[in-house]
Amino acid sequence: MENLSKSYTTGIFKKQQFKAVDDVTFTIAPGETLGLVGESGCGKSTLARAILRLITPSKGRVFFKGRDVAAAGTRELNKIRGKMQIIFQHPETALNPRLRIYDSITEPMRIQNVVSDRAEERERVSALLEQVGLYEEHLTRYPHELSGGQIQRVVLARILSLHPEFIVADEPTSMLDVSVQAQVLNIFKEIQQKYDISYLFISHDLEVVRWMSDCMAVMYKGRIVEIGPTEEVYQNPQHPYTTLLVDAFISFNNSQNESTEIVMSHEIRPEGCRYAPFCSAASAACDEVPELKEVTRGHYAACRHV
Amino acid sequence: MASAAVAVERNLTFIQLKKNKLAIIGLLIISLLVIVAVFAPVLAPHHPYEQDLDRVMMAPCSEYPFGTDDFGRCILSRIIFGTRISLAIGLIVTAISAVAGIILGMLAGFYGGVIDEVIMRIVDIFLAFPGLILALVIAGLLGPGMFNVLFALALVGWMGYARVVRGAVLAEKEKSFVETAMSLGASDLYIMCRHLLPNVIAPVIVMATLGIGHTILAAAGLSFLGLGAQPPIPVWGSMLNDGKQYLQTAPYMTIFPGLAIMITVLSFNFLGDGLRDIFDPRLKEKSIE
Amino acid sequence: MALLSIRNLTTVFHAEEGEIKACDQVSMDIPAGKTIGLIGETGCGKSVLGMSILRLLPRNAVIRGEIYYKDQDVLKMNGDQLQRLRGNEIALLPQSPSTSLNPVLKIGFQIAEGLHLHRKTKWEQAWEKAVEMLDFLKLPEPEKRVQEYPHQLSGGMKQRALAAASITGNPSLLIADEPTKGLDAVLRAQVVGVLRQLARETGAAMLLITHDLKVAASLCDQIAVMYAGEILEQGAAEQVLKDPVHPYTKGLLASLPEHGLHPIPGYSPSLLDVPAGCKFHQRCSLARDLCAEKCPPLQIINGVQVRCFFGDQSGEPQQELHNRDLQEAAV
Repeated sequence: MENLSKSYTTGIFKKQQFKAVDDVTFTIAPGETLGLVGESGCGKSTLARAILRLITPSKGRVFFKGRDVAAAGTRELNKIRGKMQIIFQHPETALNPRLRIYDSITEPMRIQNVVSDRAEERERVSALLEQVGLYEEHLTRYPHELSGGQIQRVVLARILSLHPEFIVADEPTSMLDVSVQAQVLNIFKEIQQKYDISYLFISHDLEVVRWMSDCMAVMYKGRIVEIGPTEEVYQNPQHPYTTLLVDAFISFNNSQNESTEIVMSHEIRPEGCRYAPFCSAASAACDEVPELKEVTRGHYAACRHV
Repeated sequence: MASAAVAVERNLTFIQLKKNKLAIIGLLIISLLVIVAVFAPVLAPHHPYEQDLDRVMMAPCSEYPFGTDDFGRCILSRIIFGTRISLAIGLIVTAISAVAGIILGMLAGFYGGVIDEVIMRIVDIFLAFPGLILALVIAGLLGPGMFNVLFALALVGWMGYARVVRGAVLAEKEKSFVETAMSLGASDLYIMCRHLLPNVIAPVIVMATLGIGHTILAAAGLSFLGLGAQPPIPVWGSMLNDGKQYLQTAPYMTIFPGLAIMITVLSFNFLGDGLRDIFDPRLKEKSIE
Repeated sequence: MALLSIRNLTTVFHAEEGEIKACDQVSMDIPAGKTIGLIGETGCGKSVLGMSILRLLPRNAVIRGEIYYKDQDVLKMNGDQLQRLRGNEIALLPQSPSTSLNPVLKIGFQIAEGLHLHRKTKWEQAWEKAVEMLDFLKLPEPEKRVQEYPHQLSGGMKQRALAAASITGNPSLLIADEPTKGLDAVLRAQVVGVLRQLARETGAAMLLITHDLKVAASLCDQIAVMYAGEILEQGAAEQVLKDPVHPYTKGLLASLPEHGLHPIPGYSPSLLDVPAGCKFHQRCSLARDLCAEKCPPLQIINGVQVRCFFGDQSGEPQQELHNRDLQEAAV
């Protein structure tokens, strides 16, 4: 049983002793998708980058196939770089505007010296195009000539060129239209099934996470407040914040509901439960940081009142 | 609103066309100047050093279309040959300043930290001196000669490029494609050359084009003050200096070199402005809602 | 009589690359006090439609057709009339509060400015009224907030401030241009709340331009679906969203995650190069030869206006309706 990724991470921004990511732990099995939900500013992007060592975590470890990525040296890192990759939210900045699509797709292969000659390179590119639903004519174009959805496909092609085993998707479709999102996400699922890739799928859209993920984690101000099998967490939320999210989320089916008044602030309480100031169920017990407790099999929540 | 942005962009193209006319005129004139510089020996009616002491300070006539100077030399020929020097100074100085500025700006922006601080403080120190005066001092200290003028002007010209490039690099560095390349193990040099440089070069091109104009003007100024190439080498600035005492009697000695300087500098300015307009709107996003 | 009545609106941009037909023969009505949703994806021309109503388009745009606001044709108004119209009668709630609010002016000033300009309120009173309006929109501690700058406020608060600024003229019609674009779920819920409150308590009509079907579902009485510059389907919100007729609308709904994320094949056409005939035919499973040749007129099927020959799935192309019938059927 190969645990693909297991991370204990704590990240601290030097200047203000501000913990963007605080004591996060989870595991993703091969071929599995973990969905990560949270609002803007909760630290999910920082977590994504820390996992891939794009930034260095201040504390903790990230195990990829048994090796600690967080502490690895540069040479070791470069070997696994291709296997753990990331796709970002904004298509506009995902590609070098001066490079043609062909060059953008082949760049990862060239950097890692994976292909030996042009012919082989060309072949690979053709195969990749097919995987992501693009055509030869797109190869000679520049990024500004492509739509958002097409750019995300190009990014996927780039990623696939190195045969990844783990992909972090940081809100990959938030900037795309509904029908385009459907196209792109279907491609995500296809390649996952084909290549047995694991995903960390970050999104603020609960429904998308629900469709994409096997397990779901909810993040609030740097901490994971609930985690478990997706349907379980969705139907049976334990943490008050999760409940708020599920209710506030305008699902298509219950569209006429009155939205809850949520007044959020950027301040963070250093000690204790970070959600307590907004929580209706808060009590004195909440002055201590709540740990993740198992509620039902595989389903954990971090709240004193569970 | 994005659609309005697009439509505004289309509108800018309309304005662009108007301004572009100036840019095209500038480009044409510059091309002409280059031809003149290259084919100077063929185009000039006389040798620039040739003195015709019988016909000193003659007004323009058929044999000497721009007249002669105080040594009987043909002003037109001197201006034609002077084009070589002016363009050469403009191009060489700007090239050196730009390259130095790009390198320093790139390093400062990419690495940040101590390197950034050190480079930026050096920039600040240089910027604390008025450019032309500093160039004057340096050239004065080094003595006469064109090479010294080149050196002095290059030394005071690089800061602007460094700042602009640093700023642009800071912005581009944050974009995902750079982050991705870094995460795949690309070397710093690769990232700087392949990803950053092409995307920060646009403002540099505009600056450089305008910079050539400024440099020519500055060189003319320094030459006017006696620095730079010594007679009989024809330099527009020193021709102005030579002619200034005869302003009443032989105004053509100053008018023609002055015009040459003005037209040259204006052309580069027009071209630079046109380039700036072309680069700016195109960099904005194109999308219609 | 509807508050705003758009008839055969065609907006074309003359650009270097060619003609961009952002709106093509668009007709719709906005009754007083109702919220109409204009949904469509990027590049369909919906924002241009909103801007056309206020004539906030650049010089190279040509608008043809009629836009009747309270029986006056907006397109025939002169500069003064237009200025009185904007802000006072029809107001715009722009996208992205971060860029729509001036970062160097206090929030209070930006709201008071509107009051001063539109309602000729004196400055001191305008500031007080600004506090009232922020309170009305449920912004906590409004007296404190009016003295702050935009960067000191959170996203939700900025949205409310912007909303307050846009209703200073007491408009009868509010055009909300993509109010939830790029916002996360929590913020989106807040914005929807603000908009709902605005519509309900000021009694203004609202044209909600959005690509987010769920937001439209929560707020709108009627919905119009736009594609490549044309309205493809238009009718009561319930009807259009629960039981759509046009294949595109059906496709859009099917591509929602709740309904299985079934994609619509192909790409939306660029407005520079719109397909002949029915604009959607290249991506449509019901398409036949007729669809590639002729553009389907608006018809009434199942109580909604639809632009499709085969909308009722009868296999027979429908007849064109006369204007009279259309007006009668207009909700």
